[in-house]
Amino acid sequence: MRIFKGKLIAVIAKIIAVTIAITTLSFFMLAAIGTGDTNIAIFLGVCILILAVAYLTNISIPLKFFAPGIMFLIAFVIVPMVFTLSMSGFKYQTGNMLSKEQAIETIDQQGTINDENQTSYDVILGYAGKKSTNVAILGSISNEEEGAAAGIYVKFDTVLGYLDGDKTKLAVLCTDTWGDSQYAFFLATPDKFTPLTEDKITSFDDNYVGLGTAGFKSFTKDELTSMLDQIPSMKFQYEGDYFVKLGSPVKGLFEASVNQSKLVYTYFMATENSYRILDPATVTKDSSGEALGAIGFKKYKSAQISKYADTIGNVRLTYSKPKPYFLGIETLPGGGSQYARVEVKIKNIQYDQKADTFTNVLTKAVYKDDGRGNYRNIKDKKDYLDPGWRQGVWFENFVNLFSEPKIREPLFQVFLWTIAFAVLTVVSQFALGLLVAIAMDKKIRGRNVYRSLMILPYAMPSIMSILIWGGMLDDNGAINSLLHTHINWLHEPTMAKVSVLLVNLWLGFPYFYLISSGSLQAIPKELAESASIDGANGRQIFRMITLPLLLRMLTPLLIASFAFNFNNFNIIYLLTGGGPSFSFGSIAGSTDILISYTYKLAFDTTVQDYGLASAISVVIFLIVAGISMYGIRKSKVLDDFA
Amino acid sequence: MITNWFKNNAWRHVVAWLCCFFAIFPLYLVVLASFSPQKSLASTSFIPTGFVFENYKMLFTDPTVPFLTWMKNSAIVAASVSLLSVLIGASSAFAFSRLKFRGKRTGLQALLLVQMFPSVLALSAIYVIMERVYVFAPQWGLGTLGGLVLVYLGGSMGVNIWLMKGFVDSIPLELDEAAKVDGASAMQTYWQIFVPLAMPILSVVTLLSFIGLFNEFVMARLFLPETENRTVAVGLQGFIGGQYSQNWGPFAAGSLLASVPIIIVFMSLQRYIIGGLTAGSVKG
Repeated sequence: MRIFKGKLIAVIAKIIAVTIAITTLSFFMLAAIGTGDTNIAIFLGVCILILAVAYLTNISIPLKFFAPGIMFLIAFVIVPMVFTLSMSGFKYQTGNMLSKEQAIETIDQQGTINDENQTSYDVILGYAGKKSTNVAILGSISNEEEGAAAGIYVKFDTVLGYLDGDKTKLAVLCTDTWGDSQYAFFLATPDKFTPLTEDKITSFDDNYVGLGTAGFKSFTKDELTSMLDQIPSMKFQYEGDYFVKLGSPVKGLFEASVNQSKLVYTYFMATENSYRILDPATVTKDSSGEALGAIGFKKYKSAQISKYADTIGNVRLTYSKPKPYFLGIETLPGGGSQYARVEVKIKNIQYDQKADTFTNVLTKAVYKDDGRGNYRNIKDKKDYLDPGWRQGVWFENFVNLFSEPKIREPLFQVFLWTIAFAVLTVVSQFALGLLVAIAMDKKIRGRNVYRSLMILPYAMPSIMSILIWGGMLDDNGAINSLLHTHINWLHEPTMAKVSVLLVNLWLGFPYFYLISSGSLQAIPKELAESASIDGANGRQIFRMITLPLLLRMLTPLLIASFAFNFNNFNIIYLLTGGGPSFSFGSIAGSTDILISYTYKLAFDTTVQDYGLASAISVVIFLIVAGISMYGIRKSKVLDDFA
Repeated sequence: MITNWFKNNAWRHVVAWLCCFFAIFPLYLVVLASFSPQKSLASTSFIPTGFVFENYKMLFTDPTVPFLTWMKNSAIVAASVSLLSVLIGASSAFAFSRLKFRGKRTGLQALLLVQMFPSVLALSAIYVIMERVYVFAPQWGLGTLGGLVLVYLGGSMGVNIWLMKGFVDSIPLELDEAAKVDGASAMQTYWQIFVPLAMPILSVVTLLSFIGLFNEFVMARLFLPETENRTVAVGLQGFIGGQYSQNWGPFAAGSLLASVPIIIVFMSLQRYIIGGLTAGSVKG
């Protein structure tokens, strides 16, 4: 009698293993709770419970064996499967990907436009008070905008040039064509202002604009073109506190304007709940007078800006005008700069929770849930709000497969080719495999060598084989260059189909060779012998005895192979990508089989249609499961279920 | 005499020659291309034009083609998944084969059905799930090798349980009955009788599973967008990316290097694989 040893060690090992598993799962469960992934957390919780019940009690022996495997199966196979099935009941496509709540939130968030003047300010980002999440901005509004600053509003026709032949000594020669100021002509450098009289001007143009004076040389057109970037930042001295700035060039001349160098600023600070003009005394300023800081305002450090980027990007700050106006932060400071840009916005799309409608406060348009996953303008059916949500539509996706010509026609063609592809593949692979098996059914010389060489295609990782064939069938590939042809193997509808079948034959015939030769050996030799005594010749024996027996043995495998090729995604996707397309812009192509077409519908196009793809998936599944079940029943695998 | 010989044998050699040629000429051309000094596709010939290691060298030196990393990723993923899935799945296979319990038939049918659902079709769902996992467990979510391992584990469970059940069925019942008589529990029978007995079979299933995983493309491609993270299948596909004419040489070298280990494993397992073929497994 054998005693089962090591019980204690087994118990200890079990407890350790279970503890590790439960601890790990608990850790992830807590993490999932932390990020609000309730469904996943619940699933993990159930897993923990099952593990504990299975291994720490003796309720069910089978559960001890099944628990870990079943968990993986449920998490990564059954749940996705059920999820896929359920997706087929939804309008679930690009533009309708979110839940309704998320869609409302997004519409609400995005429902803004800039104000009429596209007003924007450069501001400093920071926070008010002690809490660093309380986003605030500090802005300086120069009064120039309000027209009170300059005092004089004068423009000159100006030539940009340099002095003494030195191109770094910039200067402008200005002419007051309109007689607005006291100086008809003057020369200005960044730090010197020289009035000129008419006789000092050496050349004029037709409009009596001065073009030259002693020591001054204007830039050529090409030189000006290369300087265009720097021109807006150039400043030239005018009288007193004023300076000259260049505007846009007109026929080689610039329009120069007079500006005040010491601007008067108004300072404001805005947070989510308040907007106030600051007392200049509480603001620290830079040399030009722009605000650098203020009492009650703390500037963000770079690290904080990246940390709160989401909050900062979405915050709505109060503006001087009441709601629906607000300030939105558009550009975050980057690379050491301290200035962010805010824009004055209007919240034009507003949600009414009670009525479940959106209203555009500017146009007064009302948008209502159209029952199809969008808020639609009740007056203009073409006008709806983006994004929509995934709306349950019951069997609409399935109905569309048959009723919508745009879907039905390519789908039907793809379906026919899928069947043809699977049938032709199995038939060709089996025929060639069987031929080889019969040829090698006798101990001929070199049989082992032949055999080893012939199963090489089957031993190669098929992915690599397909990619290699892809290269060989390329326009410039080995096949064309060896045959000296220019056949478009992969991009011409018929040839692409031939290529796919050829490559699949290469990949699969060794498999059929192996199983056929195994089965041939299993057929009793006596049958053939007695038939030959009865006077049957070789061909008759094959046709009447060997082949029927073989087919009977191999039918389940042929069916399995059909089911496998029905969904043989890799060869299609990697060799031709399903192409060539039926027509320009069509998703489906001549070599697409259902599964590759479905994949492309869901992942490879700009408008991804998960709902439709899922509906086709369900159909594929039903077909393949039906075929496989039939094959299994034939092979009687299920007979010993008990 | 001659006609008789021809009738009996010669045609067999002709068929064998033709099929051998069909089977190996692509491989022969790839070997040639991998050693060829020309990188491009256009100048293919049946006769070697030179013999250099440039293409192989590039795979190990060019930082844009981290071939070794890809191979390592593939090896890590395939090895850990095949080992774990056999470790986890074997007990289920044993239970399906030996234990008597309610719902066994339903369970087996469900397993069979579930296994028929092509994973490509559930991609979007898996994608969404793993996207969420990434949020709370960055090591195990989308875009990580860990995440891919988890997904593969789930996906390979059905097939492996099914395959192993077939093998377990072939182990004679007498042994575990004897153990039962000696007072062993089901767990003890599993660990002390079944596992040691089935070790060779379990190793074969592990290796088969390894080959299958090495070949997986769709999930890996969707899951691992970053070059550094890719498996060798996805990496090489991305590298060649439809531009066969430019990278043909290095690609040929890479695909050969990636295939050789698998071919060796396959050839050494031939006996088992061919035995298992008739049990209804189709290699992907």
